[in-house]
Amino acid sequence: MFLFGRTKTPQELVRTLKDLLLQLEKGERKYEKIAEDVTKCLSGIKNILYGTQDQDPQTEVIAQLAQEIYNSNLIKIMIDNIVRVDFEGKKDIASIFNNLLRRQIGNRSPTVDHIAGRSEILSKLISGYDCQDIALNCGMMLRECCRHEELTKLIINSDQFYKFFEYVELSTFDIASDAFLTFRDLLTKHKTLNAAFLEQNYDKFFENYQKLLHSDNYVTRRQSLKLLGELLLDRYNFTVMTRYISNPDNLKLMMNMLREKSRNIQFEAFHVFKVFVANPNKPKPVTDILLRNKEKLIEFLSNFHSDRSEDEQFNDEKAYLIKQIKELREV
Amino acid sequence: MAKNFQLVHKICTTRCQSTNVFTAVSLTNREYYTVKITDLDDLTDPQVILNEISRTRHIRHNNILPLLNSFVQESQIWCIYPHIYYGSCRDILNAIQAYYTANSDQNLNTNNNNNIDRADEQIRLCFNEQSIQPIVRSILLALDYLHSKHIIHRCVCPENIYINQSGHVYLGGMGYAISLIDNGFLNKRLHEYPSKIDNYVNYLSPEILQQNLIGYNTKSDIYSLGVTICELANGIHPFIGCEKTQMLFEKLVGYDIGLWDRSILTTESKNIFVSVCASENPKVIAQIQRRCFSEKFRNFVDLCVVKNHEFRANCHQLLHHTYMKKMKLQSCLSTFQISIISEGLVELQKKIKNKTIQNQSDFSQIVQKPTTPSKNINSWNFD
Repeated sequence: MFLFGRTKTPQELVRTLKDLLLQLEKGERKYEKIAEDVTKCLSGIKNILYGTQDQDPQTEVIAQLAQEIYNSNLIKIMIDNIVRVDFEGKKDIASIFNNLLRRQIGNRSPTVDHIAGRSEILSKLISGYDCQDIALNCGMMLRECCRHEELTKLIINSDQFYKFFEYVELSTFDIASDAFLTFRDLLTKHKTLNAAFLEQNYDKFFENYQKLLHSDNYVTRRQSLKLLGELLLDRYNFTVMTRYISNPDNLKLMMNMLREKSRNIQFEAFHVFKVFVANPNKPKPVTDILLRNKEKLIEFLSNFHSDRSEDEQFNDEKAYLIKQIKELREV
Repeated sequence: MAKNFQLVHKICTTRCQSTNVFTAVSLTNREYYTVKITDLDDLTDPQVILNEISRTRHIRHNNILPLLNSFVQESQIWCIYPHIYYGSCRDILNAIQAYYTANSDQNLNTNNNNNIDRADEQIRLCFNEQSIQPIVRSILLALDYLHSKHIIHRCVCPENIYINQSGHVYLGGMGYAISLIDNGFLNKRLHEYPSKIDNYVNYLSPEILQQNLIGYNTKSDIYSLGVTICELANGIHPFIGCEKTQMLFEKLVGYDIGLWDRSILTTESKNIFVSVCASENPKVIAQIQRRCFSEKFRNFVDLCVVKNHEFRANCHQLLHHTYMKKMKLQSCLSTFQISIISEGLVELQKKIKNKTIQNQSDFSQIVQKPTTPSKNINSWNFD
């Protein structure tokens, strides 16, 4: 039934693929034959979009192809059935999706609009992390979505966003670290949006985030601590930072992490701890903790990572912190 | 999950030091596996290992070493691979060396000439033309797949070619691999110089090293393959004992990297490395004199190491080269070699064990690093 003798037009390719995917979904008999044809169609579409080493992509053909994909709702059908497609086909779906998302006509991104109108696609992609076979492919597509503010907004404001706090701790390392990459992109790519989100959802977000910092998993602890430092030191998140560093419990956590056995965690904790000390308007409970540990802190910091002599910025900061703590007085 | 594996013996420490490779037995199904344990706390930037894990997961080919599982244990990442009996081609080269070192030590008193004989024996026994062919074929198939997926491996070298007990060859070490597809578009060339690749610069193609505006593409892997073949066949890396700047210079002027056999001695010898080796050990020349590679094998290698990548062959062309054609079913290791390699591996094993015993009495201590309590401060006062 599949004639590859002649080249198909983009429209035919899209229609054939759609039919085949719907057959897969129904679970018709000749499953393997259909799956094979699906893979061929996908790689055909991919080659039109990306071109090959010998042939550049042709704008005219791509325009026809994309239009047909939007009209036939193929993106949703592909994502719905990605789990039924074979290994190479899954990757091709991700490549097709990512290329389409980059498409721009003037200032418009037609694929972004298309997906924004069908947010169930995003929701399908997020729950992809629940399934080992498709997790990494869905991750690639989600990160491409993160490049667009409109789609990021839809994702972080959905309830599903909080699933990420579970995904980043999955026992399979490659999936967990992929989920963390996506999580990070969601929180850092669009500064204004991210700052507003963190302010509005401060309590819920940090309640969950605290669990990551307390995780038994070394990688989760290290990555989340590093990201925390980046978030707090971003000037867009000034309000969030002020709120975070006025809570004495957060200070206690960082002081304990300074003493973790892992040097990398100690070092990341230092970069959060310094913000507490450098704060010119420390609330009384924070000052009290620092005062109570004044001597210990000075001694601890004086010996802290003293082998990093080549890191000038770090040494300057350390000296500054020691000076600040020495000068601390009861309020 | 780590408790499901019992480490049997240590195979090696990789060049980047923080990774140890073990043979392990699974307690659930009693099968053997190769386990790579990387301590993340020793790495400030775990990018290479993370790239290796995610790339390998996106790849599936008969001749590419699959990553079966990966998980976190304390501050370590454990990567589980199929059991690779003979280790990498580098391990095999080392094993051959260890075999001769051990044997010549025993015979030292009886035969003083043995020491000199050793070096040329080592060269003779590395890999011969017939045994290299199946290795090259498997690697070409793996590269052909990667290149069709627009991925450049960038680190083809003996360290990353693995041979299991049945002689099946795998390409591994995807840590430096990079995709030509970026930002949703297919690039024709890349310009990015692989970071942290210092240990492997000798294998990099001139166009990667040059770092100019022209950039490089999938053909740079073919060049690395050519250098690797030369090392396996000659027994010595083409740029051995060579400063990096000199290596770069030689590659850029298109110095004739190739196989060392009697033909290079008859032609006006422009190969300075052969002469360097020969001045240190005259027997090397005698050995090379005795060696004769076939015309098609030499032609094959020449096609791989063409300086200008536009004229260099691609995987597809090389797979149809006459050197690839006479494919008798044969293992990549002859029985004779296997016995030597096995003995050599045992020698290496002993060495590693002795070292381990000196430092740590038990593997469990490697797995769980002794904690380093921070000095002076016992606790903070939060009350």
